Amino acid sequence: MRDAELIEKFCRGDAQAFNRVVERWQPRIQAVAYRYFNSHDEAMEMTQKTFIRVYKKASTLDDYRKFKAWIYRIANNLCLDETKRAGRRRSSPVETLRNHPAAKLDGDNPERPLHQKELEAILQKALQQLPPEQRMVIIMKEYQDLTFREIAEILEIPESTVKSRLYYGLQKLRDIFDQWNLNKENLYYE
Amino acid sequence: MNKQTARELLMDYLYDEISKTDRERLENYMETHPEFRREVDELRATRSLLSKAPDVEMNEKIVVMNPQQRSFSEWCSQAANLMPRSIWGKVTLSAAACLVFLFVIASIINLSIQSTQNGFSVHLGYGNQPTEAALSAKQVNVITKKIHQQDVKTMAAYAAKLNRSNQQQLQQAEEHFEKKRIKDLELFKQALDQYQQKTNYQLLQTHRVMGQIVESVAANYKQNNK
Repeated sequence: MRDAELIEKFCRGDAQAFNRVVERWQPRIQAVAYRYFNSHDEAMEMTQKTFIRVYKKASTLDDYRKFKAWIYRIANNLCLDETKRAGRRRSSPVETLRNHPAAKLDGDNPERPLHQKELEAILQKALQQLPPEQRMVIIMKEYQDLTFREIAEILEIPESTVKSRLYYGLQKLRDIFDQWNLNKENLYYE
Repeated sequence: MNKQTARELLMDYLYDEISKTDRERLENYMETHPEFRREVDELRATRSLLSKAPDVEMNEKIVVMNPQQRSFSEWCSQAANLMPRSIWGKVTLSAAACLVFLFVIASIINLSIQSTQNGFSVHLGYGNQPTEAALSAKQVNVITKKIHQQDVKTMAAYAAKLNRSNQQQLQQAEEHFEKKRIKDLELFKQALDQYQQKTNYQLLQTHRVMGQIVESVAANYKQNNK
């Protein structure tokens, strides 16, 4: 059953349909929130808040076919709100990253292959250095396989802005990876 | 194709959302612009690193409340499942239910059971409660006489006790005043004795002074006569 049908059923009072929606969307929303915050607890909290808002506001959704963009938009707004509320400075100037622990780790032994968990931690830390808007676009494009059109619809911005944010985000990541001596040659999987 | 157009198509190319025509145009542009190709390769390498991140695995599931809406028949069938299945359980439950039922009915009809001289009396409803048969006149007289005698004895004992108490208090008062009177007399006698002694002393002193005066006057007289 498609998302639109499930959400329509839920709006008609079928609680089980909402359970199906949660089962179907929880992994995706959790993944977005985890990539964004680099924290399981915050990811869980954001996911819960997202579904609470979906539960409360589902009746306001004009076109059930736009549910996908709508739920991603809710998650994105909650993530950005939380960032502003907590006053987090998850992005920092590239210059300050030269002495980053990950850079030091690689600097000690540049040839040492990285294990998967280390790689995940480093990639997550790199993502946290990006401004929230660029970070979210990269997460949506790289890890959610959304098209530019879909991301533009979710964020309610022009496609050109999406591409621009993605371009600058990738550039910044490339600089960070260079500083940390992170490249394909020192990747290793157990 | 100029640099501006190439930049606009860069992201489409990188994420394979580009038309076949634009792809060919961009690839032609890259062949003639190695610095642009290098940038594309670097961004592609960055993407490649990002893609190495393992999938996010979170086992926690969101608990979704599901309010159950049961029909009456479903409710009945679920309630029936709560009933005991063994015979003893059923018997016990039935007995308890009967007992509760009886208590409720008894409470409603105001059932009362009383023990009387003739046995037990059962009364239903909210009217006057039945009373035992009244006493005969003779029994009343006997009881009255007994009560009267008892009252007389009680009053006599009370009066005697009161009298004794009064006498004791009177005697104590007499003794008290007698003691006080004797003490006052003693004090008065002592004061009188002291006054008498004082007066005698003053008289003695007066006589002594008068004697000295007389002697002095007599001596002066003798000297004048000489």
